[in-house]
Amino acid sequence: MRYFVSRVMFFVLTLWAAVTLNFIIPRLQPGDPAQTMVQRLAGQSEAIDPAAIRAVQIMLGLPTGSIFEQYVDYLQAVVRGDFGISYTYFPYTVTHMIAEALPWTIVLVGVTHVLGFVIGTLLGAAAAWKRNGKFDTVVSLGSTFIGTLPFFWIALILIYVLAFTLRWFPEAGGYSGEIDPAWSWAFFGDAIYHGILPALSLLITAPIGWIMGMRNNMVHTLGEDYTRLALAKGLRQRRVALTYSARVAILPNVTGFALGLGTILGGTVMVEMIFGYPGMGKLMFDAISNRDYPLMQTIFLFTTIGVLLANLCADILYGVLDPRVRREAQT
Amino acid sequence: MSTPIGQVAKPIDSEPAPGDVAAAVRRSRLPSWVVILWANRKSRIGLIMLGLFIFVAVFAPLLATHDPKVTDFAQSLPPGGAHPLGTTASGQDILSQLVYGARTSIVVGLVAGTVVTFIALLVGLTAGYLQGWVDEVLSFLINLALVVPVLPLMITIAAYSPVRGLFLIIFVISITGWAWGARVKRAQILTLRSRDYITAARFAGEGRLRIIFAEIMPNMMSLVVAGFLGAAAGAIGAEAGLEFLGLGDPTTVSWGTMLYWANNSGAMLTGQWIWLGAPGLAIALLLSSLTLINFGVDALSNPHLRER
Amino acid sequence: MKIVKEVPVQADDPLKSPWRRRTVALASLLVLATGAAACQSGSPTEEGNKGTPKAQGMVSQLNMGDFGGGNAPQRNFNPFSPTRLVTDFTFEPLFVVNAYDCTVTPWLGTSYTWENPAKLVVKTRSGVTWSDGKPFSAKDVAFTYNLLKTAPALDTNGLWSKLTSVTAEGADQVTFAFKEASVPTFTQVSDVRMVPEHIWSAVTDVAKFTNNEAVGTGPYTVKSQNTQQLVLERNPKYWQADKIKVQRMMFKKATGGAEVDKLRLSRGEYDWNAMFVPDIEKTYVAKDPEHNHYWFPPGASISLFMNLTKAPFNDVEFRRAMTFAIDRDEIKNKAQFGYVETASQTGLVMPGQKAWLAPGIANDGKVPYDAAQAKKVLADAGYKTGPDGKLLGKDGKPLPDFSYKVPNGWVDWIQAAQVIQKNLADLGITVDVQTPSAEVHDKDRGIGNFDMFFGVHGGGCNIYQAFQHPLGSSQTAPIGKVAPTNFIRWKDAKTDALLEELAKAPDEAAQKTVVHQLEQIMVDQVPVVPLWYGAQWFEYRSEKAIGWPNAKDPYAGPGNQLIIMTKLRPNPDYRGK
Repeated sequence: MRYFVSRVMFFVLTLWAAVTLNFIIPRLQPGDPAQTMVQRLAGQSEAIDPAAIRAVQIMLGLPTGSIFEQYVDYLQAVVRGDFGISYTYFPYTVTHMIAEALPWTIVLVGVTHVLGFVIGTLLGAAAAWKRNGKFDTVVSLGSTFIGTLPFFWIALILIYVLAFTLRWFPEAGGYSGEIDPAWSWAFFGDAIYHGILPALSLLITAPIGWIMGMRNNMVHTLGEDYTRLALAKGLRQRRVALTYSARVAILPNVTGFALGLGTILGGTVMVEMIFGYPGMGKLMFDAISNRDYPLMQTIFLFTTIGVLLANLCADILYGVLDPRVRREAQT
Repeated sequence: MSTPIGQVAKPIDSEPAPGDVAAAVRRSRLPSWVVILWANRKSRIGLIMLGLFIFVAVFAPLLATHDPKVTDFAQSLPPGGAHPLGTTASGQDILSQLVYGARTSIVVGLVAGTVVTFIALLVGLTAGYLQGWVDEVLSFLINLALVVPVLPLMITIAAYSPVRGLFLIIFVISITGWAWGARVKRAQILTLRSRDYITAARFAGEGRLRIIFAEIMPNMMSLVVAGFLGAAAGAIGAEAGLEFLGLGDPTTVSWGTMLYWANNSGAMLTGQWIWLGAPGLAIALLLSSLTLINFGVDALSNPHLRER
Repeated sequence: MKIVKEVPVQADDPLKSPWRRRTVALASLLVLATGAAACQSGSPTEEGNKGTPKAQGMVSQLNMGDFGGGNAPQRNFNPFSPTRLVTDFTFEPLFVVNAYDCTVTPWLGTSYTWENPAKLVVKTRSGVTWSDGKPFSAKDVAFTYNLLKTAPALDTNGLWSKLTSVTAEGADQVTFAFKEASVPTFTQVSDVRMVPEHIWSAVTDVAKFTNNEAVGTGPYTVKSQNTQQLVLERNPKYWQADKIKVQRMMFKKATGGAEVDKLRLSRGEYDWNAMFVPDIEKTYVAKDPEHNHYWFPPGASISLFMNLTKAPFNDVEFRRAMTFAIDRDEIKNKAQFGYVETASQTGLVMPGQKAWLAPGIANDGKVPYDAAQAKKVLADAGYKTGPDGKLLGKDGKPLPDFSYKVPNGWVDWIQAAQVIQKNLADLGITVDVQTPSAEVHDKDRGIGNFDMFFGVHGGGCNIYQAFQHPLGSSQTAPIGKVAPTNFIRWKDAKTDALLEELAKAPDEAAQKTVVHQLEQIMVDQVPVVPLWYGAQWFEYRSEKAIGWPNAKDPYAGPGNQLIIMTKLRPNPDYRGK
């Protein structure tokens, strides 16, 4: 029990530290959001009337007071769930913007992440079990090469070949625009059609990490004595593979999966950017580009909480899967 | 006094390596890890590929036909003649850029990979083995570093940094990349640590450092080396990604900046496939070589896996 | 103030698309209007036999580029909001200042007079209705201006720092009273878009008002909008509806970034766009030479700005040598794809502003590349060359390495800086091209922490600002303090006196005499070294519609959407739907 309590305490403490970090990071950077905003309008490099900047500052209601006061305000706002107004999408609120973007990313990345994990872990386990066999060679070498292709590059190639040249898929966007977003089959069909290429460019490389991780871990556990002992005792190979090797070998992958779920956003920034996919990754990149502090902070915060929760789950799962860890913490 | 169980559980010490490799190790003056890796067909291919890349990187000035930054040639030339891969939209020789780009990637991989592995190992080992409050503190740091989304953090730091360039990118990769490895190593130690042979060693009164370096480390060798190769690969990929996003110094010559320029100067529109394709493939091949080497790595700490 | 009202492209993803950022603002001042006469006078005779839309002589739909509002555009048709979507077809100003030739076209205002340099009287148009059917009057005009007074956040041009009052007299006259002589502010005053009092008077927080109904006087109303597209529909109640021949405009979000947008453009998916395209003849025009066209008229001057508080930049002879030292043609061809024109030392946009050129200035004020002459000027001024080939300062010590700051990722500017680096190396001057982030660049520029960088000035129809921004002493600040626009720290009593005179000059003749003297200062004192004119991107397809402005018929700048819409008409040869 103590193990689980300590994990929860970690969760709370890390949450606070992360919230604070979220406050600090954007403020360490140079750049005035009002100036950036006016600059965007005037065209970069244009000289800007200071009156215009002042006016935009007024409109944005930029944070005032000492850094400490800002911090207290920020903490209170976070507790209230009030994340302010986006600078880029003024006068719409940050919450409004995130609510609009979040489902896209959750679906896109959720699907590809789970698929990638399942495919990757299975292939990896199989490759390890039949290591140095033909299957292993094909899977390993194939995924080795494919997995190393930069995925922004894959995305560009996919766009050019499948969307631009062959015109099988739309080259950008989350939906065509002809159909307004609604709970209709027409819209979902359209959205899935648009999601195929982004999903594909994530899926091509997604399982690779899991294949490698699983294969290496499992190869390692296959060399362990308990596995060999089990084999020596005459247990069936499949049973050994599943209940002994795979169960231990999957542990680091489970951690990885949980963390990977949290870093969902990071991994998709580039793909969402290239495909102009209306998700969190794109929103975040735009927020950073535009010095949209409130939006940026909140997206950071959401991601952070996501990772934290995933982390907590991983820890708890770890304790469940490997009782030794739990016992260790109790002694 | 070691218990028999402990002895049995240390594969490297207890099990003789299969004949050929063991003999090769004995015969050779090379470090044993090179021999072991060389014995594996895949990692041998990887080593050869990596060797080629390093060769190209080291002798870039001799191999490149032109100065990669000089913009004196006709713009957007198709491949052929004096420019086997053509020229960029600003009149640079693509082949020479590709050759020099190898330097950047190798340096980034080597430096960032080493730094990341070192930090990860130090933190992971300490946290996982010592446990107690040290673990609490370090785990807290690991978790903290993990919860900050890495790529967005990289982008943020790089985007806002007052200076641009390779050093910044290596720095960003290093400070954002270690937590994952530390976490995995800590997790590994947690399981290793609860093994009987470690318990036995502890009861036998062996010192902590000795247990860590003599008992645990050998079992973690593959993890460490794999971690390094992974970190180096990650760093090379991240460098290319950041450069592609325009967050590096676009005047440096690297595969990432080549992709950046190719993309922003419409290489696809002008039909210069090689300009866009070659750097991507070069990155993939270099990373492939690292991954291939990784195939032989598990044999380092697990003799059963050594190929004949 | 040059808030760009360009249609399609709003610089998004500054990190990603280096080319987009400076779709440089408005065109030149006073280019001779080579007659707004039609060049592509297609015969409107064949109208009868081609389907319903064309039976009415209509283009059924034009496909447009981006519609603003960032990458996840939210409904916002508040024409004063910096985050608005395209509102330029829905809301109209009193006068349209032609961005190309700077002529003033009466729009919702029919005429204007400066009763004195601080009092402007405007007659407004009658018979205009808002798109909801209510009549438009001078009261709406006065209301709109006073609205900006109550909401300073929306007054991005800072009008009310100069205005004292705006009042309506009767149904068709508005009087503007200014604090001081303000003739040059006309371009800003006339630029404000009119909104209906009967809707906006009920709004409490104007800055946060998103104006979803978008009731305006303009030729188009909003039909539908989501984050991917915006559809504008022809307004049948428009006061000059007979001139509007395009039924619908379909804006598509440039979601895929610059590269995808370029692909779409080359595929002919846009009838009208404003984007940078590399090698445009090959990547765009060649795909459909009959219909794909472009016109990149010159905009603002992009110049070598030096820190005048430092030696040797504080030496006029050194600066004069710089005018010869830089190979502008190489910059034009290498860094700018040959899309631009080299710039005149006068600060004017040539050849468009030729009418303003002071007599006696040869070759349009363009200085040819002449390295030998540069060396001679330096030698005559007492700069010697050291044994290692490095140029020595006047004190005999080698000059330090100079930094040339260019915002990171601004591909073409970096290449231009590299040309300059090479040119100056020939003189024995070492230049270090640095590429800090745009924010750091702008900050350093403001506080004077630089040796050299690219400055942008002029190009708009406000000739006062063209000189006052870079050279007026009110626009500068000591090193370490942020200078608004005079980054080079040019302080000259004569310049200031001339600027003051220009602000009061009531007519063009009086303005020209003053401008001639300002040009002379540019040529003699070389406060900055203009290099090339930023291009305004503009691509159009003549397949469905004809009557676009172009080099042969520059009746308006590419940003003058309202004027262009009154000129477009169906292509009689178009057989499609």
